[in-house]
Amino acid sequence: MRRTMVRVWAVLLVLALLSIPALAAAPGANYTVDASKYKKAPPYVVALSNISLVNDFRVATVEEFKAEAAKHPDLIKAVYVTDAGGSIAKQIADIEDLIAKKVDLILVTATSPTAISPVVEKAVAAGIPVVTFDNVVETDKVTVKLVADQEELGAALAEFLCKELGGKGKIVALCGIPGTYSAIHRWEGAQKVFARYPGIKIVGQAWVDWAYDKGKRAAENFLAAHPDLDGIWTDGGPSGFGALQAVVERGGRLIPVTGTGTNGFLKLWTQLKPKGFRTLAVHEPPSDSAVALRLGLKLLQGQPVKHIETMPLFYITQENVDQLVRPDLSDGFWASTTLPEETIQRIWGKK
Amino acid sequence: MKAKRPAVRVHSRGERFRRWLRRDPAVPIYLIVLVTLAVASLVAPTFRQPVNLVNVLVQSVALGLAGTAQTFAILAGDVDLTVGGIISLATVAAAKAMADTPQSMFLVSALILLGGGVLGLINGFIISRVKVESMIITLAINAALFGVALHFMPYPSGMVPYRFMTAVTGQVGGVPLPVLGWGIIVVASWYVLNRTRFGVHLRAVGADPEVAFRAGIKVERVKMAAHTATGLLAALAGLFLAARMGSGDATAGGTFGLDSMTATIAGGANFSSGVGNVTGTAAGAFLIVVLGNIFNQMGISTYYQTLFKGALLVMAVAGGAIRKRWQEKK
Repeated sequence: MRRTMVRVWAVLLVLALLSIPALAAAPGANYTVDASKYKKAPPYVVALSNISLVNDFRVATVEEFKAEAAKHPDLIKAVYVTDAGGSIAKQIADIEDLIAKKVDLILVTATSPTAISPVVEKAVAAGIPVVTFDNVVETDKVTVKLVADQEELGAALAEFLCKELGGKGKIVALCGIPGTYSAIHRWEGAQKVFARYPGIKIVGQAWVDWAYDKGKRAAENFLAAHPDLDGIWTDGGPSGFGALQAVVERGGRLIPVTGTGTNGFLKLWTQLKPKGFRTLAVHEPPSDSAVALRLGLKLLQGQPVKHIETMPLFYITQENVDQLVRPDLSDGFWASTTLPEETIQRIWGKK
Repeated sequence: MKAKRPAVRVHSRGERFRRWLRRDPAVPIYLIVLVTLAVASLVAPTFRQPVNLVNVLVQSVALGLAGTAQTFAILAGDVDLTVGGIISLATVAAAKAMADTPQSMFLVSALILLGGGVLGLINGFIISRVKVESMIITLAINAALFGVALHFMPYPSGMVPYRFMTAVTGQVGGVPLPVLGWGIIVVASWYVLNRTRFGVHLRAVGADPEVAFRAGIKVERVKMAAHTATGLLAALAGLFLAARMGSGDATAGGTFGLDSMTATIAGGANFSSGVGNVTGTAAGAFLIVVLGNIFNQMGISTYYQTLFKGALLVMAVAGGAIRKRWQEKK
């Protein structure tokens, strides 16, 4: 127990050190936003421009936003949520519609970091403060960026894997959707860590879109090709779950499979724990939409907000997994959610 | 006594209108669009504001152009799913290659259009010469194009010159340029498809390539020309999108393959019948976009949005099929 605690602290220390250059390298200096120009009397009309509702994480994001808005009946009179259905063109249109509606605040999680920038600049020019979170838009003209360090996420999982294997072994990496910000930065963060461990051999890498079926299939193929595989690095919830199931179904040695930790992954993890299975899961909580809304409300009330705000990552470790797993809920549930139990039961409850 | 006017007008104006109602496959979509606009104007006061109406028209242009592209392929009896891939590639190429000089903007735009046309020609060649199912082969080629786009731009980036953005998305006398351009493309395509020998041949090939071949139509050449038009127009849609995004993104075209098909079919075109026209497709594209706008204006939950959209599109497609059967009975 003591040794594992030392390990956890060591990992955290390395992460803290890693995050220093990451912060220093952030483009554009940070500053305090002049909120006086956005200050107006409540009640406000607030809007969220969402990417799509393709998975539980995105559903949770929207629900967290609505739940947070409901906590401020004195400040908010109307709430709009637009859905781009994964289309860049549709999201540009959505934000144009919100500008035409003259809403007081727009929150954006972007289908594309660059392609959404011009329309976001248009909104800011129209006097509407824009807070971007999760999939952050690139433009420096956006009012506030709520950023989670995706490189840290990838690096933390890699660091755990390397330490767990004693710095020696064969591993494969199952990455997210090619071309997306978080997938690329997580993988970059991981590669930097792997580069420091010459004993770790990456014998395969695949883009599995964070999807359950693709993750499982890729893991099965890699396990067949390398029966002596020592670990699997994944940066996805469903893909990590699929990869872990592939390891279980193969039988034999329970090699570590990292992930972001959907409830399904946690259920399997806690079941396998007595057999000696160990791993780490890290993710950006879906409550980032609620945090973004709180920042936006601060702006509208003329309170200071930083141009770049940090969204802390959520760590699920060998120690806290038993408290966080919810055997009573379905596999897509995210343990870090701040939603009320009633909403959780409505969405993920097993009726 | 000499007749003052030659009696070529067999039908009265009313008769001609009824004939149009019966024959034009796009009539259901026109009606649905009109009803939708009327209802939205009544229910959502912010919808009928001129700013918003101009917004919706500009928002429809990308899908409108992609739909026009797809109409050529569908009227030729095929489907072209590379529309999405070509759009992605066009945005990537524009963001990578365009420099901030008028010469460069003109040259790069021309090369992108040419590239789209060549890709379309290759599609047409493979479909007609190698005789493979267009849906399958274009799906495969589209995946390859997407891969090429990702290779050159693994992460959304690049810059389309600001002057190109303002030039393409500007206005002339209150009319947004993209809307004007879209209008010209639709009118030109309508002329080509409805008033030229090529258009007649294209529809004949689309309805039955065997019969068209026996009638002496050069089926392969017609198909290649149709797919070239598809590729060219898809590249044009991509150029416009690049100007709107101000950058390149390998995933920009992702949803356009299927959406362009939806716009075309909702616009009254039928697979393998040579029936349909670009004005219907334009209305179909407009309907898809205007529904999104109305839902945003009214703040309808996203769950219901997809439901409504699906239901209206089913109506548009079913409307055409029901009318066709009704015509056959008569």
